[in-house]
Amino acid sequence: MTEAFVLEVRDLRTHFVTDDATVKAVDGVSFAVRAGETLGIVGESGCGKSVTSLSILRLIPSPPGKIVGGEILFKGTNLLSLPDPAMRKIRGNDISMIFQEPMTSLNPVYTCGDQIMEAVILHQKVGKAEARTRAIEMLRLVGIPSPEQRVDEYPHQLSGGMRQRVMIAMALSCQPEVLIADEPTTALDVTIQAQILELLNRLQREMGMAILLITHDLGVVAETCNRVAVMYAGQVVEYAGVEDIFARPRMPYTVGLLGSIPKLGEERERLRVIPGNVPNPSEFPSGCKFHPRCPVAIDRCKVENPPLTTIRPGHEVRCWRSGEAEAGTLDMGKAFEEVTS
Amino acid sequence: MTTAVNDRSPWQIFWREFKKSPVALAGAGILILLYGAAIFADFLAPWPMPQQDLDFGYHPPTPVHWFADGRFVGPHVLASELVDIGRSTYRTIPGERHPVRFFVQGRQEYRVLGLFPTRTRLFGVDPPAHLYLFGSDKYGRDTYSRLLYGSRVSLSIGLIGIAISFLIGTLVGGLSGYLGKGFDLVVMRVTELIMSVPALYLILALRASFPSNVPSDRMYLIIVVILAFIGWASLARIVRGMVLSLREQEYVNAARALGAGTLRILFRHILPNTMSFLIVAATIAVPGYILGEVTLSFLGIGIQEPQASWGNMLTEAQNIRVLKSMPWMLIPGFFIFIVVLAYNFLGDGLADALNPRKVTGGKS
Repeated sequence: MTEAFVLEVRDLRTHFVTDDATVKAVDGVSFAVRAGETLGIVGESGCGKSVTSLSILRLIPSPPGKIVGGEILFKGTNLLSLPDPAMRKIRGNDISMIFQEPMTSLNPVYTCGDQIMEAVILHQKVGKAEARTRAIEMLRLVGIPSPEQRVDEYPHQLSGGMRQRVMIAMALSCQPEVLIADEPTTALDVTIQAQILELLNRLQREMGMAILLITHDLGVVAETCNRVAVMYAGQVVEYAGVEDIFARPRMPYTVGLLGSIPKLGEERERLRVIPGNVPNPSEFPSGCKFHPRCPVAIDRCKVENPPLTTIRPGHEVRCWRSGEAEAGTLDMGKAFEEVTS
Repeated sequence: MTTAVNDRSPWQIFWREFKKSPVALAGAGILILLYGAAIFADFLAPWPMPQQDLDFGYHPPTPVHWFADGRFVGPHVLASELVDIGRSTYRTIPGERHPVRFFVQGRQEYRVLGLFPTRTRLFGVDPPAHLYLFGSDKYGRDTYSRLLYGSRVSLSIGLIGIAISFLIGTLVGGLSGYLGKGFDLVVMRVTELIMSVPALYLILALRASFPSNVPSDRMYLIIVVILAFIGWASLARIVRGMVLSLREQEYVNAARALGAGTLRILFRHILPNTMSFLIVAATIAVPGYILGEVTLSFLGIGIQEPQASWGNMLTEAQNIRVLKSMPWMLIPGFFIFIVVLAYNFLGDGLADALNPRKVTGGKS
């Protein structure tokens, strides 16, 4: 089972040390992806999902950031113990990343072609002419019309959706085994979002890579992911297959997230929200970090942080009351409705 | 699909913006003319640089006549003779007409662009007449010719000086901004030290650390080194500041995610993005170097006679008698003024044309 995982993150801890406090942005996160599989990492802003993805590539700005514990296994090799030159060979070649902002993720002084070629030239022993052919091929693969012409254009000449396609072409130019997509569609409008997701799905089928999709959009998750890790305050709070997450969420936070999606045909004055805010990462509450916002919190939640426990094969939850929910004696959704209405 | 604007290369966009400013175009035109004149000084100057005629010191500019006795006879000058050696007054000898000849063969051979030997000069007159377009100096040397030869020194010092400062400033500032920490701390304190001492005292102090009697070619190098040493500091600070903001850009992160190393990111991704600002900063800084040379030479510790430079040509214009009765001795000062102005106009035009908010083609 384990050897089938391309990327496995075990108990990752990334902390930011500032003069005032130590911010535990990622505090013991574990998950794993197989080739050809998409894992969604979901959570509100500031829950640590982006830091997790940057930690995998060891791109955390240091100082103040530091990976203080855990393992990141890429095909069995711990990336955290690799020397820098070896890590650079992995970046872009075996594991690559698409960033959130297509407007600023391309260097304005180089043509699209130059930027795609850069990855190829960095990692593979090919000449300029061949790298250029490769860049054109990649542009065609990501669905950019007349790639022979686009390859010589500058980022400012392209639309946002086009730029995101160029980013994807850059990331995939060396045929990586893992693609980390950090909110790849957040900055795009909905029709382009759908195209980009469809493109990622198609490329995944063709190239068989594993995708780590970081998003706060549950709609995107439902459409693309096989498994989902829900993060809250630097920890994974629920980790399950995509059907389980949507049909049988057992962590109040996940329940709240799903409940906050407006439903078609439903008439409401205000959208449903989870009451309260994401806690400040430098002063997390004691016990379960969600308890101040949780409608079903009990006294135990305030003092003791629940461990991630398996309630069903392939479904792990971090909640003291998940057992009751699983047994059907507690309706978390209803509890939320009562506090919000 | 692609619009007309999008089809333009960055250079075309730059040119389209640049030519909107007539002042900047004029600045560029003047500089092209002056640098061209410096390159072809041997051809344009009627006299070789060191040639003197001690009997004709402080000769006023020779008027060029086109008509004689009401008839057009082409350009010619009248020969003149000394009247009072103490006051340097001259009178023309009527009737002694000497035509201005073009493409004359000079006495001294020179090489065009340092390659092709020739004696041809654009114009000249036959002795005993003198053609002093801008008058002559104490030794009877032609100010116009020396202005041309001097421009070789004065104008090139600006370019070479800025080139050296630019290299050091970009490298040091770039590394300082990107690496940060201790390196940044040390470098920035050094630049503050250099910038906190008034430039003139620093120039003089540095000048004092070199021997005073050195050949003029080595003196040229010494001046360039001194000026570059002072100039790199402010450029380094500009670059550092820009690198500090650029290194947080997403595309820098993207390049790191692609596996690019530190130096590659700095030189390929960050520094090219500072270039448009740096070109403007450098253009506006060039006059500082030209004025630096002028200052040193004016004070007599820069370029030494008989080598001409705009600064040491002005040395003679220090006393009130010369200023009062030989105003043509100030002509080098006028050219310095024109060059400084032209560089500033050009710099302003470049700043507008290279403004990235305009380059995006309408979207601001």
